[in-house]
Amino acid sequence: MEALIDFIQQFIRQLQSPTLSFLIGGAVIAASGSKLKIPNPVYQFIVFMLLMKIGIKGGIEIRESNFTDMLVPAVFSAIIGMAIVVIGNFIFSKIPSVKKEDGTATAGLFGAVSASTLAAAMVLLEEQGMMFEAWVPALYPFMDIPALVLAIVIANIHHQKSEKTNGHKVEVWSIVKESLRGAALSAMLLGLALGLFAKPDKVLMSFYNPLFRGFLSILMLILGMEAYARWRELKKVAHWFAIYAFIGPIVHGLIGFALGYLAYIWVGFSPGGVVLLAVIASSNSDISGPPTIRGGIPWANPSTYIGSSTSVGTPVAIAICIPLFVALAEVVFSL
Amino acid sequence: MFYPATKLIIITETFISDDVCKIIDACGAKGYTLVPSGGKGLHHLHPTSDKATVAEDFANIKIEVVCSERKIAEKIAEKILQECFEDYPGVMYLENVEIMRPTRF
Repeated sequence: MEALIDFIQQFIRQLQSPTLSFLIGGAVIAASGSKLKIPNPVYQFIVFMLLMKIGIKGGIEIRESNFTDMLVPAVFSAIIGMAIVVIGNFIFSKIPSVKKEDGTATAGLFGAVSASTLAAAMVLLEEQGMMFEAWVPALYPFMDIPALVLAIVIANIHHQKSEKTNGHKVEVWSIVKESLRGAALSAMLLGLALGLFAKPDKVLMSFYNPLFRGFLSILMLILGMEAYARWRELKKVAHWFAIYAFIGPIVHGLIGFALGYLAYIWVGFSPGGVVLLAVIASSNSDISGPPTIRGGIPWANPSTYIGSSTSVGTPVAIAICIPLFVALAEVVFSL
Repeated sequence: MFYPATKLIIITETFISDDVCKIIDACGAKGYTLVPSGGKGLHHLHPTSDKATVAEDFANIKIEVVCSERKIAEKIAEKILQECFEDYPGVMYLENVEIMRPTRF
């Protein structure tokens, strides 16, 4: 009982953090019909800034750490990403009113990873003083790419069977390449390389670090506004998508937390790392995933998967899952 | 001095504009104009504002190709219809226009 009260208190405290309040503020201001708009280039620049900072910081710290520690969490990340797609695909296939391809595409996006959710979680963990290995953000592609590839492969196999055509072969390598070239991942990978091989410590401390939180708050505002705007689009499609998008991130995060806990026991994965793994499992791709899915499963309706992820999935991952897993870690690891 | 020509207008998603432009080149047109676009289609309104969006590639684009011969424009349109518009949304129409310097088209 005491653990439960402790958990609820932690949860409420997390909700008041600046990150989450900006997200909620964005949705409220969009709902009120405000004329406030943040231009697209600003959004793109912010995503670049955040991922560059995460990359550089990770790269610098990876220099001093043991790379083999990453092996088990990386394998777990890939397993989680693919498991989410398989589970989501199975659930949607049981709902007659949902078109097969829309379900698979949505499951693919939910298996993939959101850079903004990751950034928000890192800030919260730093505020809490909960340590995590510097390479944890680099788990991103290990979960993101297998999930997108698997969803596209499943959808194409089904499409070829149902259309009785041979269609075009799925080129796995081209999906991987496209994912790596996406705006968010390429900024993070470049940052990692710069951190590893160059000496960007000064520019990190004087430029990227101080701006990180401020920019993150603007990003959260944009995500809140987008969530409201896309909600209208999602309302036009089956309600199952909204239900999946609400419950999915929590369940996916719990799967991530469980596997992270295994890694904690086996290879001494840090509690902060377990939380981040759970958060990236609960997150759903909002920047690079949609175009990849659009290219790989063009016959799926984008309103279903983008609506589910942007209007429900991402807000749930940021506003519910991050505080939930931080609170859970504090109870489980008695921090 | 103006000469008659045919203009093909294609409105589609930015996402497939590269593929459409490749078809235009392959069919022998000498150039095209790309204009960011928006408006109301069969499904919903495609915004024209520059407000931040998480899915920029889904924005609309208008591609204009002026062809000296109508059959080139028709060939481009048919190829786009077969190769792109089965899976992606799009609108195409022809216009009769008059051009200067016909060797450019």
